[in-house]
Order: sequence, then C-alpha cells, then structure tokens
Amino acid sequence: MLSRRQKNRGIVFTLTSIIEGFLVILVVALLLWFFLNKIMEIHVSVEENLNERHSIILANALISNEKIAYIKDGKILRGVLDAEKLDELFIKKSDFLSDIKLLTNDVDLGISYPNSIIIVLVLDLEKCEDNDCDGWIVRLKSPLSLSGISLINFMECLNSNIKVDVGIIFRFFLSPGGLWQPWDIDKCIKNNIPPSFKSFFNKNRITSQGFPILIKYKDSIHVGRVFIGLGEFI
Amino acid sequence: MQENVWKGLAASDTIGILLVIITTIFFLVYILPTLFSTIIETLAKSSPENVARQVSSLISSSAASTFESSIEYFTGKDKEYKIEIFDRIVKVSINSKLAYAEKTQSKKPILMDLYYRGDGVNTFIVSKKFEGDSIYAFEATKK
Repeated sequence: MLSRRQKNRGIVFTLTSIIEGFLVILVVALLLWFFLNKIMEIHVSVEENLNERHSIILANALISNEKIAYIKDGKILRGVLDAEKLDELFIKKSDFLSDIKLLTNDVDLGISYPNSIIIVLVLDLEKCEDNDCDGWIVRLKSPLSLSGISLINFMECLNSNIKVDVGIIFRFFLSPGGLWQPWDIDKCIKNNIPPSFKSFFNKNRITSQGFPILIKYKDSIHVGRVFIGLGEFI
Repeated sequence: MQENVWKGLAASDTIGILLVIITTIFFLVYILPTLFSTIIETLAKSSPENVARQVSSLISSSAASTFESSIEYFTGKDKEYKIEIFDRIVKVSINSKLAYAEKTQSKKPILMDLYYRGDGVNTFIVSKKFEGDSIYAFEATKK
C-alpha cells in the first residue's frame, strides 16, 4: 500500500517537472519572440527607400541619355545636358503653372520605370533670383504593365499561398475563409505594397536630393542640378 | 529515511529542469542564430527575389554608360532560374526547391524595353552600345 503511494508520488513529481520544464521553455521562447519582434528593430536595407534608389538609378541614366545629354563628336558627355534639347523636349519652369501640358503630355526618353509617375526637374543654378532658379520640368512617359501592378502581384501572391488542409477550420476565424495563414497575408502585403504608398506612412523620402549636372548653352556652360520625383502606382 | 528519498527525488528534478533550461538557452543563443544566419545567407545569394533585384538593377544601371558596357552576373553553379523580361518587368523563378518558405518567383521593374525568355540559366549578361542611339541586349546562359 505504502509502496504504491510512493510510486504515485513519483509519477506526480515527474509530471510536474516536465510541465515546469515546458513552461520554462515557453517563457524563454516568448521572451525571445517579444525581444526580436517588439523591442529589437530589424531593418532590411534593400527593402527600404526603394523609390529613392529607383530615382538615383533613373537620374544616373538620364544624365547619360542621348536625347537630353550633350553629344560631341559622336560621344555622349555624361552629366552635361544640352539646353537646346531641353528647350525642345521639356517645359520651361517659368511656364509650368500656366501650361497644362505637364499634366496631359508626357515625354518618351526611352527610359522610365513602368506603372509610375515620374517628374524630372532640371535647375540652372546660375540663373537664380530670390531663391528661385530657372529651369525645365517634364513628366516622363511610363508604360502601363499589368503584370507589374502591385495589386495584381498581391492577388498572385495570395493565390500561390492558398492552403487547403485540416487547419482551415481553425484559420477560418483568423483570415478570410481560412484559406491563408495570417503570416502569408502579412508577407504578401509587405512584399507588394508599392514604396510610394508606404512613404505616406513612414519617413521615407520619395524624391532624391538631386544630381549635380552641367547645362551646355550655345556659348556657355552653367552649373545645374537634376531632381527626380518618382511614385509607383498601387 | 523516507524523507531523504523524497529529497533526493526533488533534487534530481531540479537538476533536470536546470539542464533543460541551460540546453534551451544554449540552443536559442548559439545554435539557432547560426542556423538562421546560414539559411538567410543562402537565401540572400540565391533567392529569386535577390536575383530579380540584382538583374533589374544591372539592366537599369547599364543605361548610365555612355559608350559600351558589358556586365556579367553569375548567381552560383548550384541554382537554376527561369527568366522572363517583358513590359519593362524582369520576372525570375527558381527551378530548384528552396530550403525555406521563400517566394519562388519575383518581379522587378527595369528602365528600358527589352524582351527575353530563358530557362535553366544561372549567368546573366547585360550589354549596351551607343551608335547614335542606345542599343541594349540581354543574354542568359548556364555555367
């Protein structure tokens, strides 16, 4: 009789210690999860400031573009823009407010990102009055690509993550129809929301600080700066 | 005498719990980060997301060259990709299965019009020539 009670006590002790052990593991795991997700801020630098990086790549390409750059002896002078070409293709900044063309017309320079609104501003820093510099402005032609639209990518992402299994019963209350894991929806949102849309919710800039350039007039060369404003469609 | 036996049992339980805690902490602090960093390193090099990002950036950056340029990007001999370039979009899919639940395909925008379709490739060559107009070319091969 005494022996059986002792044995039972042993089982109780073992069960208690196993449960305690699991509880400790759970607490440690929860602390780690909390630390990694809520306290420690992880930045994935390549995911950040995407518009900024696209603006820099576009600005780099524009200052070597044969349609606006100065060409001498069949060679493009990188970073030197031709004032005559700018007059022909761009709208004078002084006419910008009175000219509706900026909103209706766009210019095709052969390079631009799809599904985006891209404004290019060229300033002549040697023609300034009262902190207002003369220059040119234009909206670049941006082709519409259905496969590149974020909303379609988001739907494709959801479609590729549909899970039909027993867990659908439990997920039914967490996500629409229980077809997705909550983290799959989260992943699709994070990967497919355009950076310009994200910029409204964080401090990311969507316009680059500008690139230094030279502007070649018929008989002189002025110092200038090119600015790119870029926003991606939803 | 009986009390001593109970004390012994309680002491061994405590040692067991401590061992579990120490093992868990050791796993979480040393082994798990090493595993994660290995996985992340592999993903960073070979994931379609990264390859699409690199290829699209290289194609777009080639527009900045003034005369002639040729850029070769080799992703590694173990991986093979399917690549499609259309409508100023680069779409990259990986042929092998990834070790982690990462996206199997990715799309990134490019600056100029290019059309290309290739499968089972791991080396991408972007080239540009200027002969009055800019001419861009793209090739992909298996190395």
